[in-house]
Amino acid sequence: MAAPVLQVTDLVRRFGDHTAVDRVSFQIQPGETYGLLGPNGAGKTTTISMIAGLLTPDSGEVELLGEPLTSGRKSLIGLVPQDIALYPDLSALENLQFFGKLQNLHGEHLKQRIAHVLDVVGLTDRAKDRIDTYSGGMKRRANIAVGLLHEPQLLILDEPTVGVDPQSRNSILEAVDVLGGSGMAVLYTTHYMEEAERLCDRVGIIDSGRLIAEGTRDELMQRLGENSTVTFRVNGGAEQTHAWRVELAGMPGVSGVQGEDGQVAVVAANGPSLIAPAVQAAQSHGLDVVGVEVAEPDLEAVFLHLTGKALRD
Amino acid sequence: MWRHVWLIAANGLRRSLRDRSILIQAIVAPILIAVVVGAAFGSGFSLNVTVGIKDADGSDISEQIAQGLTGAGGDGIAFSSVDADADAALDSGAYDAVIVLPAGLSDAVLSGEPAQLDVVGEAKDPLAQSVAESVAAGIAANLQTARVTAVAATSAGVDAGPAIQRAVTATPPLTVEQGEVTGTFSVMAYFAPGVAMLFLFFIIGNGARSIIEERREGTLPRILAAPVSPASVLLGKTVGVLIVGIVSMTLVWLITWLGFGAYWGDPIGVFLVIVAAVVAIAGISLLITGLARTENQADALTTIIALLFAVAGGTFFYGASGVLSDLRLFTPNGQALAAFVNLAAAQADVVEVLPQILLLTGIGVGCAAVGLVALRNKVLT
Ligand SMILES: Nc1ncnc2c1ncn2[C@@H]1O[C@H](COP(=O)(O)OP(=O)(O)OP(=O)(O)O)[C@@H](O)[C@H]1O
Ligand SMILES: [Mg+2]
Repeated sequence: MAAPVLQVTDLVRRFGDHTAVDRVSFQIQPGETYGLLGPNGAGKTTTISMIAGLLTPDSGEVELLGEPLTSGRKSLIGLVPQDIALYPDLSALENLQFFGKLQNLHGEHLKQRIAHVLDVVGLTDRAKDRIDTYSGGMKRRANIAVGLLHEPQLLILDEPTVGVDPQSRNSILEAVDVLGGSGMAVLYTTHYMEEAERLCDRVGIIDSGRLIAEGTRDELMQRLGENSTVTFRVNGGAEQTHAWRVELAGMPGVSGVQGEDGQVAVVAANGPSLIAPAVQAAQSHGLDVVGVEVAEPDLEAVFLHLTGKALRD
Repeated sequence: MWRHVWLIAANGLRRSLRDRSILIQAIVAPILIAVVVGAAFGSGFSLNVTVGIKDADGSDISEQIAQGLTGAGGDGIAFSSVDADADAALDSGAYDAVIVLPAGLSDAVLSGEPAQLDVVGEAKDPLAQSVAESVAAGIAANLQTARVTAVAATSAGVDAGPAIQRAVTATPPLTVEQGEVTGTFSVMAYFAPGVAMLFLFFIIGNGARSIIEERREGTLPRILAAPVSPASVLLGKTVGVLIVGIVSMTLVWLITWLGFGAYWGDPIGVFLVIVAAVVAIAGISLLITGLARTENQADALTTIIALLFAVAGGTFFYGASGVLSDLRLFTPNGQALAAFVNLAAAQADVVEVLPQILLLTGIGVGCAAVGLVALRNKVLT
């Protein structure tokens, strides 16, 4: 079998005495789209920075196509950073020209590549406008275009849809879908489980610097086992709700509780049989249960099950 | 590597060109200020320098030199002999500079030793100083001729007396050029480079800080995610600020010269002093950026140091005296201004301002080396 596009082995990075990335290992095969799913501060960006050679690991190894990443091999990676990394006072075209030339593209080839990536992200019409005249979504798309310019073997997208309008978000997801389908290996980080479910062939769940589970969507669902998510809608004060949540978390079979403000989701081994005692407990705390729903299992539930907390606060 | 250096430098230049405030600071402001100040002084700005001659040798030869000089004064330049101690004479305020003909001068000349003249009163007034220095240089050159003549004559068995006599009483070169000195030295040629250097600190400081800014904005990591070495980034940034500095100050020079008739002196000398001043300012800016804890701190430090150097360097006080003028030569601005004055007022050539050119370049390279190492450790790891 050919070497994986990316092989990460036991990557560790500390900041002071805080371990941001803790023995993370995974690999990405050619043509595969791999999702790194985790909440804020999980260590996604830190992991990516080490893969791209921007941050030195304290220990562990990164191999691209079977060899370590040297300065000269950096073109194998196309990095799309989490925050817009473009010159706001230059146009998209000028940004693309600059970063393209740094990737040693030039002449007619560079021109063609620029035209192509502008088309992929749908910015051909606005190419000559300065970045600081763009909307948030357009900036994100231009940000992605730079990462695609030099036809990398591995495209790394770090939360590319954060803070964009639904329309731009959709067009970004579509573009990534197309790129993944075209045979490019993609590493996609997100804290939106819908995105991970929709785009990724395999997903790694990362929390507090550790990769706590990995697999295809179905494989991860099996981690839930018989567990299911029950969502309660309640009326009552925040204090009472909190007290009730604490009690729920202590009930037998419960692996995670999430939510505030009238909506509380519980992952439990014996979901439906939890309903009666849960409602009783709610009443004893002076809460009114106005709705109960047993949900289809999803990655959100997997995360809740594995970590006992929500992907997003 | 060099392709990347150039790409990064060119990108910085392109962004500078797009920034109106840089054009205004780099070119418009210095010219405007120089023109306004020039107009305030009026076209009648005149040279008024009194150079004392202290004869500490008391020989025939020194007496002849002193006499020759005191008779040679003219428009705006007066020579008169000093009886008291040179320092006391300066302190009395009657002289702007004193040329000392040291004891043993004639013996030295007659025995073929190199003759050394001292100029006291350096830095009291850069213009007086450069006038006095060029007169002293002229005398030294005459004495050199005398010395060579004496050696040649003696070895040929001929009486050297008349030849020495001729050389010693030859007119010092400055008296010939006096007319030119007053006619061409323009106050604008003093204020334009001074103000331009002040603003260069801000512009070049901005350029140096852009390394930190780019890291914050994420464009630096993106550059480093391409096959570009950290050294190329640092060099590219450095080359970029050097070009911005040299081009803008050269434009100030050419516009005040060709547009407003302010003659800065020997073009080659002027250009090299410009380059050296820009190198010094760039080095200092890189040092500040490298050592400052934050971008804001670097910004504040740049402002303080720029103003401090400008004031101490004599940018605003032409011909200041006292403590300020003593500080002058401890600043890069003061050194550069001394060179510019020397070029403009005393018609010096490149060789005469070479010490300042070398000093400024040395300061720049030294500071840049420390600053770039600090920046590499701070920003690129
Ligand atoms: N340069 C740094 N210095 C100190 N701590 C850092 C640094 N970079 C990251 N961290 C810490 O490391 C942890 C992981 O951060 P990281 O940015 O990798 O998380 P993330 O998964 O990308 O989060 P987000 O979804 O918010 O982008 C966090 O606790 C963060 O505070
Ligand atoms: Mg992140």
